[in-house]
Amino acid sequence: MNNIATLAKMQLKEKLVSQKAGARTKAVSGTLLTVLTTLLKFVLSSAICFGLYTVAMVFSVFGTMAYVPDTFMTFLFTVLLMLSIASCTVRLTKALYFSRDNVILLTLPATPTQVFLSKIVVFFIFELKKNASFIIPVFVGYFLAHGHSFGFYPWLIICFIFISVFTIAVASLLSIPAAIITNFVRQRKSLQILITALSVIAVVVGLFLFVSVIPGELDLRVGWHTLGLQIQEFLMLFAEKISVIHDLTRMMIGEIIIGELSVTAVFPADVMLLRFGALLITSLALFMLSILVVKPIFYSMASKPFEYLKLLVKPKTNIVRSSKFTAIHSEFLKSAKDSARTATNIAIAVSIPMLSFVSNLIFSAMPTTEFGNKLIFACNLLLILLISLNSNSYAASIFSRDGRSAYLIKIQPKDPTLLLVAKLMPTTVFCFFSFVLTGTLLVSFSKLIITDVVFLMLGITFVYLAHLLYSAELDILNPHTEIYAAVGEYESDPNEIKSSSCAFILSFAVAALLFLLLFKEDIGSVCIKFAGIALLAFAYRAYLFISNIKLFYKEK
Amino acid sequence: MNCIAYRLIILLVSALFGVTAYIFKRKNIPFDLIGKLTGAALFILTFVFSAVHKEAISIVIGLNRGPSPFGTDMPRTAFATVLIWLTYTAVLLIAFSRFTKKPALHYTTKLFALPVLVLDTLFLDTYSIANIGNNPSSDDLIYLPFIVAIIAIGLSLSVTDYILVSQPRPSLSDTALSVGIFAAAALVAIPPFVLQVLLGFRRYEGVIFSNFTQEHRIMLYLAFIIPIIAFHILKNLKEDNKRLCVLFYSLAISCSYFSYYSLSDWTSPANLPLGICSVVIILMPFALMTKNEWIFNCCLFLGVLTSFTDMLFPMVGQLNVTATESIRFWASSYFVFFVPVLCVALKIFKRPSVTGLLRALFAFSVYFLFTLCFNAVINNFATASDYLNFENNYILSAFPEFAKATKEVSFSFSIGETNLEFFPLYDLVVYVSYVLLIVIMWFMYKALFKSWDKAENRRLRERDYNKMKKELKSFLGTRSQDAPMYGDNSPKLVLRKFSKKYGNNKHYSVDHVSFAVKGGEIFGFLGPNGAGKSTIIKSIVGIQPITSGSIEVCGYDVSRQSIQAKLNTGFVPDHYALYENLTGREYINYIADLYDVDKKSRDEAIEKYVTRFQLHNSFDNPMKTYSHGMKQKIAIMAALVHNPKVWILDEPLTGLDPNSIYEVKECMKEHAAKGNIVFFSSHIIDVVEKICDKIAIIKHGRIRAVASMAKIEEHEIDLEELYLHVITADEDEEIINIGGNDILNVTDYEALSSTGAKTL
Repeated sequence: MNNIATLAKMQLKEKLVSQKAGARTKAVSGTLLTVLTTLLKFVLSSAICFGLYTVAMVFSVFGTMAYVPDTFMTFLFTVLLMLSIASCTVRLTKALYFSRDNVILLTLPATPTQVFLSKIVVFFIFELKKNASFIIPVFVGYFLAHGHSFGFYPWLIICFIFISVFTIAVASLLSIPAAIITNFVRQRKSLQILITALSVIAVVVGLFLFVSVIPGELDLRVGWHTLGLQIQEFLMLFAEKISVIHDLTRMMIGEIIIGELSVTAVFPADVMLLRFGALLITSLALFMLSILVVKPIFYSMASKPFEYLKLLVKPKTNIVRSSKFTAIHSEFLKSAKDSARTATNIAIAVSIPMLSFVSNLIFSAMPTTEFGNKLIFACNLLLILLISLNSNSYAASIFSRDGRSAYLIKIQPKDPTLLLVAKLMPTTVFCFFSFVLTGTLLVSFSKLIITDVVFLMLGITFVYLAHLLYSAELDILNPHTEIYAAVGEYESDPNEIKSSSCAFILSFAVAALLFLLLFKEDIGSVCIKFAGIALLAFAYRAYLFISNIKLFYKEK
Repeated sequence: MNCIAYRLIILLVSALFGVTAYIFKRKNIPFDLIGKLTGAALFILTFVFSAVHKEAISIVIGLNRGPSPFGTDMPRTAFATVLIWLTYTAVLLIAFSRFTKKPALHYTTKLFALPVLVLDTLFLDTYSIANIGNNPSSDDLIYLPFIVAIIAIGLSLSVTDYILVSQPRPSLSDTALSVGIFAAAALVAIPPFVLQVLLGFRRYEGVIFSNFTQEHRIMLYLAFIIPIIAFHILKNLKEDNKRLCVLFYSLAISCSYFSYYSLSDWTSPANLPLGICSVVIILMPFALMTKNEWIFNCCLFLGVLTSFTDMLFPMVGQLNVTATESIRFWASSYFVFFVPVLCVALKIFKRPSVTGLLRALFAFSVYFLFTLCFNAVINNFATASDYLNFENNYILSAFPEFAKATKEVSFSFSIGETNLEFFPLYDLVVYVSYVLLIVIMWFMYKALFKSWDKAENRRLRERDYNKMKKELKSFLGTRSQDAPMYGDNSPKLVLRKFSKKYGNNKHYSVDHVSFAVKGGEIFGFLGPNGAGKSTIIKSIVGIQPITSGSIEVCGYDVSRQSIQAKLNTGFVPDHYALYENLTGREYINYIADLYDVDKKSRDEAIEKYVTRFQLHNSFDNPMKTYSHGMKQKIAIMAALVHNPKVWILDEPLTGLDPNSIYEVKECMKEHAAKGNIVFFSSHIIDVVEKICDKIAIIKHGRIRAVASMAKIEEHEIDLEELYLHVITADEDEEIINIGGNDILNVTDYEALSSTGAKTL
């Protein structure tokens, strides 16, 4: 037990000290800030969820009921649980089997099981933190909207501790086949290409199937009541089929009793505790099973990523490239060889036009007023900006991910701005492609004319580029190369978090601002103004980026 | 009104005062105390006068409309308005200058205040009518002596300036400065009614400053633009001058603000200046005069947010632009909003710390309790008071039900006939809201100061960078910017008093190190862990900036001509740093591209080293599949592919097998044999002994010994023993030199500028 605690503390200290080192604030104000920020995030998330539930009740989304049914919470919890398990599996696979610190941990005087358990403990702590920020507020918002008594709140936290155990236990079991498949695929380039191609085809086929389901005319006002009843029916069927999760959900939110004027949540202790007992036993059983399964194979699986297939390759020739172009070529080469990165780039390139296409198809099926058209414009903008700007969070660690190689830029006899901008090229190219495709789709499927679309996409491009440079600058001026060098990943990279936060705020702010402007001016002049202001913002950002790099590196 | 008599009184008083001052000067008796007391009396008199009496001319609503005390004589109305304005300015300047020794201020009072007061005397009838009206009642006539007294004292004090303050003939710039001071003083001391009288009232009907109309937005933008302009004007003044300027502005605003309070206002408990903004207007001048951080922190945390909220949702928004209340509101709101922040920006007061925040919270708590009790007492009378907006705040408007529920908890008791009622829960909610706002302000200030520091740091670095560029350009003169600063481009490595300090450390990691290495030499650099070897190497190759001194590589200064210096350098780090997803060939070609290596040389070099290091089977595989030794060999290849004149290695043999060590040593010998420099650090004395021509031993950031290996062999000195001796010797001992004169002699490598200057 001592070994597990020591290993876990060591790994936690590495991650937490790295976070605090970035802050460098005095103890009192630093702690105050951390507590306030965490509290604020929690309150904000809960408030947003509360707001959404209230809107749903006001608009009678769930049929005639003036409350959010527990079957909806079952559906929501199922989705969140599945996403959580999927995300946990991916991250746990990386943490258990592909983390660079295995090189050190496996050589320490601790058994592989102890190393495994220490990693699970560390992962569990971060998972709890993530749940507290995202999933628990979903339920807190529900409790606030339905006037649950105070006792439900601490009960929720207790439940989620064991739900996190359950999630991690499932993920640790799934991580074994995930690691085997990953190891198999990463050594076979052709297989990677095939999988990528098949995924893209599957997505496109799925898209066409979905599109064919969308009715030609969609009048929500007329069919609202019917839609509400259909949603209700679907939810009840869903809850019937997945009764286990339905019971789990009711364990957390209580039994809902619908009165004449209001609903009440009650806590039948015997039923709740029985369900809690079942969760507890299942979680612990799964956890013990994962230990039993992993124990004999963890060591060999954790050391496998460090083994490489030695291939006999025919010698190639040396190719001379211009010194200005070689950096760009090198970055594209590195990006292409990183399959995870390539997959992400393709996903970004495909997702923006795809989502834009689907949403505009739905919008075009609806009869809309002037106000509705403005709202559609703002929604389009928000969708594109949210995805594209959030993809820039990778740029916020692009320099640090080189690990110890990051400083090579300082010794090379070229303008560091050129070398650093080259790093941003691969993702930018994919994004540009995505913007062009999206623009084309907007012209075809939205009510915007071509010049409006051109200026709109130009504006979006400049905002994207400005945010990209901001994110890159965050990392270049405050890198975390040692963490990436040691571990390969940084669980809560503060630069990535800053970049994502800025992306969210910027996206909503720009969409809201343009939406409000539409009430004073027509779409054409709004798009032109947007493009103009975005260009100025990008120009200023570019100037700051170049001069900060120049000053940081003190190059000629 | 018998103006002639009053004029005579003014002149007599001024003459007496002037004579007294002259006598004091002749007898060398200090007049300061009398000056200060009289100045204070003048200020108080003016303040009380404006508090108890409203100028008759203040009711005029435009030059084209009436009613004016001068009837239809608009030029006279305008003249009287300007005269009153300038008189207030002159009085403020005169009173203020009694308490400073600034010659510029005294010269300004001589130049401007005296003529204004002389004008007041000459046009006493106009001035009096403007104040008390054309047909004053007996009550109004009581104020006439006040007017006369103010002019008399003001004139007397400005006359004493002529007598007591002697200075050499002022230059044009002194006069210009005085004009500027008076203009600025007049701008800040302008009474609110002046604009209304001169510009009119109804002309701007329909222009309202609320609901974020264009005009309202302009006023909000100005709230940020004005302090920025003020900052740029004041930032280069001396500390005490900055404080005086802000103090004057604070006093002027206070006077202007409180001049609106009539006697009835002062006697009405509901109209006292106890709101947050009013309190700040009272406290700021005190804080500036006494340099009290406590008072200042209260203003900083309480006033700024409150005034900004007031400006966003102004209660006077529906009034016209030149309405007196409107001007007063905006002037005082601007003051409360930006003056505390300006004081911090100008470094008149320190930035708020956690202690400052806690002080502000404490002071606010006291103020909160006071207003709570005060409201409770005053609400017993006819006029209800609501200081701190207990009955009119955001909580009540946004959450009426909640506020109503909390107000159900009440608590009351009586003292005599006075009933005091409190709502503890509601009051607690209001208190907590204000505290939260103060804490939010704290974080906003931190973010603001952080951004400010960042921008300032950037500006200073940019300035230094541009200066460095300019110096280099002028140093090189007609030579190309790519020409070496120091002599020619032959292989040499020279450090001149190189020092390096990390961050804000007081201790130097490398302290005044100077040495030179010539072409054709293998130079070994020995020292214990943490001696500074890697620091020196990293500074040579450009990974770290230099704190002081200079480093020259083949004639190029590493700081000023870094790219040229890097083109002549090849570096092998202590721990290989490679892009491991690339193959060996891809990586080497990438490096060769950066160094502009042509195809023929590249092919030759790659073939040679691949054969030498036996990398044929792996060269086209990804480097992540390589062993440690193979990666190190790739790093060596990357450093040599462009055949650098200076090859630097930082502990290159760590982790290599014997065969690889042998190959690396052979590379080093070959490279030096071509006339190049090989400079490397190592712990392994045996290796250093066998291959080096020259060595240096460094300890605690300073060179402790230099030696030529030939001399060491000649004198049969054991290098290991020498090393151990140096490491354990005293810090004060001189550098041990065994045939290393040319290492320490850096004077042969002087820079030569186009003007013949030897150094920058």
